[in-house]
Amino acid sequence: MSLLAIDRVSKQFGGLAALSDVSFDVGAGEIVGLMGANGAGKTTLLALIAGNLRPTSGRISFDGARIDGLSPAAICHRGIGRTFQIVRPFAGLSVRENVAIAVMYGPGGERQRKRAEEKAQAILDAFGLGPRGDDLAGSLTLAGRKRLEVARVMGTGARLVLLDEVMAGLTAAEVAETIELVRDLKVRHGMTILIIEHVMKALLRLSDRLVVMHHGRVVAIGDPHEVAGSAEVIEAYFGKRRA
Amino acid sequence: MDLLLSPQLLASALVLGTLYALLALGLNLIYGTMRLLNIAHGEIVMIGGYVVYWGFTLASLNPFIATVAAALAAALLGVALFGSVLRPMLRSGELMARVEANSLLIFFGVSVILQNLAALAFTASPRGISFLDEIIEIGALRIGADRLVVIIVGLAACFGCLALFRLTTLGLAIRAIIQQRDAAALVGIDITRTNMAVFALGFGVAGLAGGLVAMIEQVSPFMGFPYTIAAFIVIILGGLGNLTGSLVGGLLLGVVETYGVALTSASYRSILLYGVFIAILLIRPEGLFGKRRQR
Amino acid sequence: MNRTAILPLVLAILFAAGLLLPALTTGYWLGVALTFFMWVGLVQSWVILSGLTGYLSLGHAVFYGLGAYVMVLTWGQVPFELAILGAGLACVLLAVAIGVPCLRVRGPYFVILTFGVSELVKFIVVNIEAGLGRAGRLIFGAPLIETLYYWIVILALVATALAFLVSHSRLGSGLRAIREDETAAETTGVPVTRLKVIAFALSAFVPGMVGAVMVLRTTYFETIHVFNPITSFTIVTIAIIGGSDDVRGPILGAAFLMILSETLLVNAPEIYMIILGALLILFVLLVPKGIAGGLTGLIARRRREAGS
Repeated sequence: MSLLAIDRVSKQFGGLAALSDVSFDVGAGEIVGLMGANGAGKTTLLALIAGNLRPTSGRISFDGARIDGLSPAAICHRGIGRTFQIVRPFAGLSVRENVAIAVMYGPGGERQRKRAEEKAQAILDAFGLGPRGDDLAGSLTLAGRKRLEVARVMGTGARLVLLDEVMAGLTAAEVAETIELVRDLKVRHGMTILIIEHVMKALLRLSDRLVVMHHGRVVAIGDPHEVAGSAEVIEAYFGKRRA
Repeated sequence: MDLLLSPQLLASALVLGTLYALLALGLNLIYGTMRLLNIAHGEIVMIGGYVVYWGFTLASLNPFIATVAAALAAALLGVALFGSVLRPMLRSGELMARVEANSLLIFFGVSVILQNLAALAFTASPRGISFLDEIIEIGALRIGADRLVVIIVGLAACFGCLALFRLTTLGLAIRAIIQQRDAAALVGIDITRTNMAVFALGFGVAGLAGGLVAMIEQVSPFMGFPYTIAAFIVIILGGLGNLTGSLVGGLLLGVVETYGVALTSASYRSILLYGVFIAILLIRPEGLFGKRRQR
Repeated sequence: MNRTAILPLVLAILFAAGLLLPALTTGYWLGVALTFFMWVGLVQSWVILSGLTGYLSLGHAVFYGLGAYVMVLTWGQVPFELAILGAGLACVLLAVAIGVPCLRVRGPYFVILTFGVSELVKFIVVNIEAGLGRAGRLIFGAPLIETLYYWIVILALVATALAFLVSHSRLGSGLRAIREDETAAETTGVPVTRLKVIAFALSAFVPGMVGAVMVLRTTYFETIHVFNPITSFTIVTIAIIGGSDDVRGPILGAAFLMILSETLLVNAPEIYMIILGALLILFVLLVPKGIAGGLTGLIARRRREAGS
């Protein structure tokens, strides 16, 4: 059974059709890669799933139940977590408190602040942010903040994680680390992942399946290497071949 | 019913509406270009009013001239404020971000300071001048000459401003900044100088309105606030950057308020004003300023 | 001495001294102390909403006024202790009622909205009173000032304790998340609307009771005086001058204000207001964390220098 079902979802912003008739499924335990040129609608799709936006038409179902139209907090409680394309840490709070808030307000709903902070620290340690627990989140480097954002999602105990360009702006070494981190989420924590990336090598290495979008539509779905090499995708990126 | 249909009431509505339109134009300019909520706008009106009052009382200055003087004085105040406080801040990005975010509190402080300076200097008692008191008859309408002047001068000033925005380079620069501040800088518009002009214009227009008010009403140190509230209502109603909208919105509010009070009673004026104010803020939570939160 | 024990100790001393004061002095200085504790109570409450969530209320006088109104309306019909409590609860109800629509509005719009609401309620009450044929109301047989004083000190204590507890609780973390980034908070599972309304309601409780007690002190109720926007302005100014990050700030700010007002208010009220306005501007621009924040920074720097 698929964990996430996107069924003919469209999103209009005034006259602009950001998404048109998008449909695909994500199975439990899968890593599905989402790629496409800028403006293809990838982030919009993530925002719709997470509840930050509402679809103009279509349905989104998680675990068999419809979730489109619910508030972001309610969707978080169902077990969906999301990172943002431009990181949004709680900059004025400590690194630990960032994750502790997720632990307290996510589906786990840890009521005791002390215990939430302990769990948060454990997560930080696992993510290599352990020693920075007391520092202000705003003082982290970009790589650190991206990592914190994933750690925060981890804190909510999400079953489906939506990653939005977590590797943008990272060095090659940081990208390699992040690839391992993402793989770990699936392998060690059993999470299902929908990941948007422009860093092709990461996408091809991580994804079980690849979805390609262009101008708000899905143009290809399937095995990453097949899809990446397919004619439609190349055309979408580079334009029609001149004979 | 007779009252409602009387040209008198319409004239009153026009007087109020013209003043509101003028004020809204000034406020809209400053917020539109610099995202600063000048909640001290009404105090500039108050200052303009006092300039005319004292000019007339002490120097027997013709209120028309005094009004122009008030507008100029206010414009100068705006330039001084901009040059001394805001321009140095524009250099420091962090400080400027704080100003924008806290502009309301800062201008509230300015408002308190101006009100109390005036109270200190002039005492809190309301003062009025008597000028052009004769009643003029136009058809069925009997209106005080001073009120007629307010309408004429006020509307002239409004249209003058609109002409400035439409027809001059400065106006074009202002509209560009309102629409897309960063892009305006990129195409070579001198943001700082344009902002200074905006301050001069915005404050000047408020000073002018103050002078007009002095002709028909009493001035007092604490008279400004209702005008500030009204101006805010209008710019939310008419739309940010929509300078024509300020004109239409101002007239509309003048009509709504005047007829609303006529239908109920004078004591309901404040309830009406604040009620409309709150209603708009609630119905359009981001106003027309912020990005409409898409859900 | 353990650093974390200093604050509760200082507070304990402060409030103990407060409660002992009537034994040592009467009349004028008691009045000053009463006013001081009144501001502490008001500002600590304000911080629960505005300090933690960043939604600045410029209309808190509405709760003070409503509390006073409840007291005068029920005077002589119920024991005044009950009226005080009733005033607090009435304000909580008002906060919940207006909170839901108002807290959808963000940033500076929320600020002017709260101001507008306070003024609207003021003019509604003005019209109600006019409709009832009342220009003002007198209270006869009000409790002694010593009694009122104890009440105010207790209310200040309650407000401080409430602010402290909320700040250190799960609720406080959620509120701070809202202040930092409301969208990210909501995506992380924080029920933002619910928490904001709760904070608003909590911030209304003590001010309502304070208003009820203070009207017994003046024994005269006039709508324009109790719903005074200057009260709202002073609360915000105290919070900004003193700092709103922890419970020290409102206390320091209130103390600063009392010193200022004692020297200026009676003789030169306009100059007092001008200085207050100037201080607001100065602190907003240059010392955003207030005196308390400045102290914290100073202590932290000294420690760093000592440690290295």
